[in-house]
Amino acid sequence: MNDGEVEESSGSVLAERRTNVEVSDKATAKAAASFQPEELDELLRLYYQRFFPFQLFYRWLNYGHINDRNFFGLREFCLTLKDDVYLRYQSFDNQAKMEERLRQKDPRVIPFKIDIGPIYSARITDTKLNPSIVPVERELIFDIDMTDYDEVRLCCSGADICGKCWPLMVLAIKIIHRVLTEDFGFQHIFWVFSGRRGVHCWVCDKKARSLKQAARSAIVEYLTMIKGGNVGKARRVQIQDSEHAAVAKALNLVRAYFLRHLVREQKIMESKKGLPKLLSMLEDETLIAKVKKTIDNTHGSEKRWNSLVEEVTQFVQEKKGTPEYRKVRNMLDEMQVQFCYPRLDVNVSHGLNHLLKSPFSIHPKTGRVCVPINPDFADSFNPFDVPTVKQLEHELNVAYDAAKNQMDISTPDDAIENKKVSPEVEAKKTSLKESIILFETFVRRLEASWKRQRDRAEDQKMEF
Amino acid sequence: MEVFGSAQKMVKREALTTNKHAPTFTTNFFLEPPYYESINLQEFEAYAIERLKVLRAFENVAFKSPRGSPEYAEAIIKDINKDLRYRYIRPLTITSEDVLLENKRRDVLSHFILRMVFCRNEEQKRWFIQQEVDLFRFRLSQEDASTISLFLKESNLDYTPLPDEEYRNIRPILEKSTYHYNNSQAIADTEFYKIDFLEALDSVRQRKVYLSQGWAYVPRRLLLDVVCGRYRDHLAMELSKLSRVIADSQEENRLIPVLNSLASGYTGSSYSAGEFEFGITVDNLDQLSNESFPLCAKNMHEHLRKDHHLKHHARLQYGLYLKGIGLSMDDEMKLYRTEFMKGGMTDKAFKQHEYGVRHMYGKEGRRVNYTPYSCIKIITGNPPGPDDHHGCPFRHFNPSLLQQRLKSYGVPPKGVEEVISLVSRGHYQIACTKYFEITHKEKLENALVESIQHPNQYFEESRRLLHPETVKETQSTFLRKPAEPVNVMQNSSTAQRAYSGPAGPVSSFDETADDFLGDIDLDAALLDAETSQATTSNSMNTDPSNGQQRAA
Repeated sequence: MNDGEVEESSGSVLAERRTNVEVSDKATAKAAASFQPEELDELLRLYYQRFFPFQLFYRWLNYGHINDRNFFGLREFCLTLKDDVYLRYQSFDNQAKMEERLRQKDPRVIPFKIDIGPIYSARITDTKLNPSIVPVERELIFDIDMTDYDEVRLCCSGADICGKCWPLMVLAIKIIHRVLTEDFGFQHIFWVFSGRRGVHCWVCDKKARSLKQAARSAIVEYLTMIKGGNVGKARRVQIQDSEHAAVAKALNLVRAYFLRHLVREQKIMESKKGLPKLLSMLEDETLIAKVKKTIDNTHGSEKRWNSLVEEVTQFVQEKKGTPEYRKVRNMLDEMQVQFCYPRLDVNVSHGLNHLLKSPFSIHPKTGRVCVPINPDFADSFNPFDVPTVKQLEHELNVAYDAAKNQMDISTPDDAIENKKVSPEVEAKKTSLKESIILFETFVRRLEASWKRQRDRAEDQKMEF
Repeated sequence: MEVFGSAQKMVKREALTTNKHAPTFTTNFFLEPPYYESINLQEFEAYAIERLKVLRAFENVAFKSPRGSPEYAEAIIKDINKDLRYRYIRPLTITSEDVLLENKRRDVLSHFILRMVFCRNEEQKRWFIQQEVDLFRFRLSQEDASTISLFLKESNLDYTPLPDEEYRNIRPILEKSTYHYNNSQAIADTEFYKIDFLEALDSVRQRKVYLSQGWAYVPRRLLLDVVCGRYRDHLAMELSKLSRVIADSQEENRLIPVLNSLASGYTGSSYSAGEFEFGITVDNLDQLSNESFPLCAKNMHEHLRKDHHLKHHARLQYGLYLKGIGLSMDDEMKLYRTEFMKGGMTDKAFKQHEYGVRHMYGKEGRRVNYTPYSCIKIITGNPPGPDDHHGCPFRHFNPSLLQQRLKSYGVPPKGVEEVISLVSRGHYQIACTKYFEITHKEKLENALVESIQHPNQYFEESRRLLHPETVKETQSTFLRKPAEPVNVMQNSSTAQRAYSGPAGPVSSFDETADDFLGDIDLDAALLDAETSQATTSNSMNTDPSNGQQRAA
């Protein structure tokens, strides 16, 4: 298939859709625009042409290196093409080069997935990596994936998510964001929806980007409460430092979450899947029997939970002064932590060279955009409201029609279509608007910090 | 050279080394290579062995008691004989200056010689750094408070205490957030230092200190950890550099054989593929798993067969193990493919696993020929999370699960009890050895077994016993005739094993976790060192600190 053909066919599809869809109601639009993975290449072509915010993207990843033109070019990108063809070690000299590559028209080379790697010590050009070229800089990244919670999820498993388990991600964002800002003092933190079932976190402060491996894993461990080991033990979490400021703050969030979501909403104390799991975590056979008995006579998830808390508290009291006390004193918290505390993938965060899906790329399976999440309003983020690329196409068409109506009827279609508008502006006409604004705010704050730094440096120069 | 640079301020090398009080400090950062002098190969070897004895003692003691405890200090003093103690741990101050100087000379020389011995292999590096850091910490802890502060000051590590006012304001938070053994210790903590968290990673990692806005509030008591962390990074960096220098040097007839023999007692074979030929194919894996796999491999194999899937770490650990016992790449691919497909994986999705397998066999990416994991790496490595099946069952299983598993493999109750008791004391490798003895009892007759250091060693020895005809390669070094008085259990005494380097069990992280400066991240540190080094490799060859060339 040559380029010309592709051009033609997609053009006609576009025209057809424009005439078909005339509803502007968002909900109906969504229904009309249900995403089919088969048409991904078609849709992606439009997306890279009209939506992907190249300019902001470049301003972000170039990190203010105005005089050092090569900086962006040192970054590894990994492109995944149709049928899982991986192209690792790709790099782009500048924004224009990147645009050119992503906007190539041949469907065989359109990237289905874009991953971002580290900054290397020298320009990488080929798939074979020269061993003396090593990663030197990398945002501190976290990847929280719902599948890691399968052990304790009551609603769904695997790649599925629902309104019941998504709050786990919200809790993860809250806990991690607090630690990164308050404890570690990072300021430029970018949370992104992974497109399907998780969230990614990019910490972009200069200090974070230049962290060594040891420091990265130290931060992850500082955040970790559910450790490995103890295979076969029901209650895997052990908390010995519940008074540490960071732990105490996290526990408050965990307890509130557990009560609201697991006890009240998911009714864990009446659930066939959750109750046995929870009870087994008590570990002491006599205690389990006792709690079971009390619970059998109590109805309602919250009442049952209260009586469990009562029984356990008494049990812990009785152990006071014995050597076991240390192991049981925080058991209530430990159980709740095991159910909902964030589960981090250490391997993603600790190395410099791990790839992470780019913000604003499209998840190839769901077709949803990897949009940023405002951590201050994490509660109100709904993954099912995130637009799919199909929906965006539809919305653009609607906006286009509206624009056309305002313009002179006689204006030919081509004139409107070919009018040069930057994606940043174009995307704001659709439900991607808020996401673009969030991204913009994030990049502006970064830029302000570089400016402050430069000013400071200049001030210092003046003093001499 | 900024290898010892502080994150807060750049430290000039001269400042660290202008050691005006030289004779009073036993503690040494070993920033300076030995003075130029020529020593002969015999001396070279003798010095190395002497220091190895000391390091082995440190390793052994750390198995038994937690670092920093009174028992630990006692055991160190007891286990290291007087002469060595005066030379390496604590100088006898009332002695002639000649002796003091000689001791110091040996200390420095032997340290740099062992750097050369252990720098050429990741695992050996790890071991050496861990022991040297322990030695360093012990020396430092033996100094009195005023000497320590003088030492820190001399080394340009004089951190500024937290101002009184700030201290008063956040005192309640500090009390709660600072790790302590008991309340009296908490009350005694009145002097805090505000340090960039990057300098107190070990304390941060374990949430031992309060953290705010990137500052770690470290009590005086934990400052030692900070200094040790610094020393660890420094050593890791130096060893990485050194390994390149040695690799680049043309020397191969005089020094290298000595280094090899000194290091050889350490790991023996690396069990990379192709050393042995057992005739392994996908079809006889189940049988081999039943007969000869160590528990870790058996566990992963059975889960692969049962769940038709293995997660990343298990795929690596098991895959490399299989490669090590001689399974061909095509066979390994076949094994994973068949099982994963049974688990419902599509051809397309398997593609990335294909890449993984090819990578393991050195056919993709950096094309490194990866070697199978040793016991130490598995035991100290990343512990298995939910649904993970890698790791060491003796280390990572809950005792009741281990018990049940052993029973199901037909281990008699008495044997189970013995194994569990070893595990509870943190002797995971000895427990594995015991398991080997029990399961190979008939063939072993009265032969005694050295402790298992490597899952692939387990397999080889098992094959050697059960089907000697399938083993083409050399004689076992593993079994000893009963006539030779070697008892496994007492085997770890320093005298007998001083030469053989770091063998024996690895300490339990649980027991010592509380005051343990984790070396979990040593791999990372080593990698970091290499990374930052690759960018400065030009300056390397002219670096004055490569003293080994002169020492030799």
